[in-house]
Amino acid sequence: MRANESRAVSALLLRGLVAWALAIALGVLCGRGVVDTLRAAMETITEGLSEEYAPRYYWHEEQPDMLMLRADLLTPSAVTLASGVRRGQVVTTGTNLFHVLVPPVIVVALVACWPLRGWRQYATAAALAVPAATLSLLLTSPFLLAGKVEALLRAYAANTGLEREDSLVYQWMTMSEGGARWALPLLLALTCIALANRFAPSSRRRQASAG
Amino acid sequence: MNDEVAPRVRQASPGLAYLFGFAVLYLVMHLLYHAVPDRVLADVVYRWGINAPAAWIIDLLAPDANVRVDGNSLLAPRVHLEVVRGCDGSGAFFIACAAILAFRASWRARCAGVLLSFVTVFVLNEARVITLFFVVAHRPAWFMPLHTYFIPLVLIAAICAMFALWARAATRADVAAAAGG
Repeated sequence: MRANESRAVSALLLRGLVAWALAIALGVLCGRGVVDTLRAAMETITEGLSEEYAPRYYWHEEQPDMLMLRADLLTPSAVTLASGVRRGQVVTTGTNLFHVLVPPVIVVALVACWPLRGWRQYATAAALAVPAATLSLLLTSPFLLAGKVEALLRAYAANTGLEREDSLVYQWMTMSEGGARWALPLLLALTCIALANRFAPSSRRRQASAG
Repeated sequence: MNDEVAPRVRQASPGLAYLFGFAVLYLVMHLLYHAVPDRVLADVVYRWGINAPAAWIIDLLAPDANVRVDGNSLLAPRVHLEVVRGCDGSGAFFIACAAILAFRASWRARCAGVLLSFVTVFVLNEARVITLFFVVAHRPAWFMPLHTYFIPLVLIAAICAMFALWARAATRADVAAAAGG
């Protein structure tokens, strides 16, 4: 019995390893396409995060793995204007594609390696994993880049002895980069698993309740 | 998988209350961590807790690397590696601790779990810093994908595996204690 259990645990760990490796490979192969698909949504979110600038996402010409955010300052705040930044000025910042992909890859990997009961639960978890992975990306990368723009505007203000108001975007970026960008996808993946368990009863449980 | 074993291995499913507990604990640890001043982290924790042991190991592995520690930086003729807030393994440690402390197990098991998390994250993080040191020295082009993608994902996978093994051992110990009592 104990040997059987050890074998079962080893099998689960091996399965976890394979699922994790496949999710990582999937990120490498399809990551750019995923980000391209979500670029419009990322722009909409970034637009909602600040009224000071109009955001536009694009790929860096010389470094193809760099996702850039161009922020055209439209209505800079009083502090921003006082620090010498003008209307129409452009602020650019960027992040590496791989950095963007970590949260969705964690969601996919964890859902793929979690042991569930029966195809109904697997199908439900897989269906929930798609929006969860999308959400994990949209709750991290636009905030990271908007937070970086905020950091640049803060630096401009600090150079002239001014201080910008504390912003939630900047705080979320700091928290996210400090590890929440790993905790959030773990939570989302575990929520998918919990919902799959709750709303898609296994065939064994259905048989038991029928009997 | 054996039919008797499978249901027991598969019964673990996170409850929504557990997920809420995990999130709250993580947030509390994050806020406490951010209350620590940058200078304390750089001059004490990163210098003596991360960089000094890493430099000692690098020196053992490659004595001609001429590695030295300068505050939160690991320096060598072709290397300047800086440990900063968020790149110190704290995120992984808080995730492991929050997952363990929110889990229904005895306090003894939870304390052992936190200690295990500390050791695991410390060892993995040292391995990460040492790996990145040699990558910067010999294959700088690999630094970005390793630092931003592969290493964090391996770290999270290792933490998940550690948690799964701990949870199994803690549940077993509690069942045995209940049966014995």
